[in-house]
Amino acid sequence: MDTALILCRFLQYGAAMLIFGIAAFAGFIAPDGLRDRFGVLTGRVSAMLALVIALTAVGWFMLEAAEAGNGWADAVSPDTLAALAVETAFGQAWIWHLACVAVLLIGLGTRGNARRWAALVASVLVLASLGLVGHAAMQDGAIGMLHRLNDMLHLLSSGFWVGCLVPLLVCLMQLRDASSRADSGTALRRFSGLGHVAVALALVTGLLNTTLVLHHLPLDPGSPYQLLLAIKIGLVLVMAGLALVNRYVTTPRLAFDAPRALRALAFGTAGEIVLGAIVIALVSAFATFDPV
Amino acid sequence: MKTASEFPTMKKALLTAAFILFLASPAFAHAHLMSEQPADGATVTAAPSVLILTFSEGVSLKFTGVTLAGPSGPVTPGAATLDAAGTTLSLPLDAPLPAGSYSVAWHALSTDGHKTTGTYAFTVQ
Repeated sequence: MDTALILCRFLQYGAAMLIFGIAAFAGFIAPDGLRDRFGVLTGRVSAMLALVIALTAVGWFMLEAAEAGNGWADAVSPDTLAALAVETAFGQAWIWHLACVAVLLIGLGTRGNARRWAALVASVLVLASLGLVGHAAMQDGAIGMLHRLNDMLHLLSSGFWVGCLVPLLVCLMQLRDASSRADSGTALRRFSGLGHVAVALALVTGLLNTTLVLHHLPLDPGSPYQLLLAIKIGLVLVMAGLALVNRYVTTPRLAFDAPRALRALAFGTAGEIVLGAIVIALVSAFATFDPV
Repeated sequence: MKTASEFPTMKKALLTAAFILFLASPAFAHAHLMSEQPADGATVTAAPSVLILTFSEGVSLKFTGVTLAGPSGPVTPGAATLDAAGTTLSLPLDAPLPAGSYSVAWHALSTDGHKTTGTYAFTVQ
């Protein structure tokens, strides 16, 4: 049950971040002329991600009911599900989250410019509403509000960072093509600017989250929570290092040794994606542990 | 995307955090049992009329409870109630407990959805 919940959380966070990154990059960062190159990502891939989000959102709620109650039978017990929805802060937050997921599903059903905006706004809502549950919801009052707000900013900034990396790879491929080179360059420059802000915001909100939950740095390896959090922070710092190398070492080389620089950029970006996935997996696990 | 509006919010949030962190007491996301009556390991001479469990944070009434086992098998307490703060659970014992040793297995769901369990024991003389 714990393993199923962790898997559910991983798919939920991963898909929500990716669909947000695709909506932001393909719909708004890429210039108009480049937009049709992301047809697969904004079309079939986004539809699949939305389906994963919807299924794991329902699955997460049912697993929570099984956990709160007395096992698997409670995952499908109407009484338990209703009590979880009405009587717990988790349940109430989850109703909001499910509503945001419904907005996403409806939004993806629209076409053209409306769909571009709907995908962005709805994916922001889905990702932000995940900040209503978990350890961010453990405090009441002003500090609880601050914690939730900070968690939302953390989800949005880190989701922007990691989620944009996949469309970024597609964008890098277009640099080879003379007809789309100028537009791809524009997209890269825009992403670079916003990326700096997203990475900085992800690091600051992450540090604040750690402080709000633990009140100190995760330095005790005897606590599973602190150990995994420390590993996560280490991996995020490696990711930030990779991003800096991509931006300030490899990108300038595009001017005089384009093929090799492009390969290095693609490798660096793929590396960030892999590390990002591991980071999301780690947080999916340790955020269910007791934060001591 | 919304960076222009996020920065002032962030700055305000950080400043607020700096103030509040010094005042805030440690928070536990999981409900831990802080104290119980009768206490763990206690020997009481008068049979208790109520079991009281106090948790480190708010729990959900529907998903929080105990199973009480005594010398002659399981005992079912009356309907549980929570205090206004949502942290103290009271379970009335309608019939006086016969003398003997009792074990209490409790489970609690914090309102943010984490489950914790534990056991303790007491003796009625």
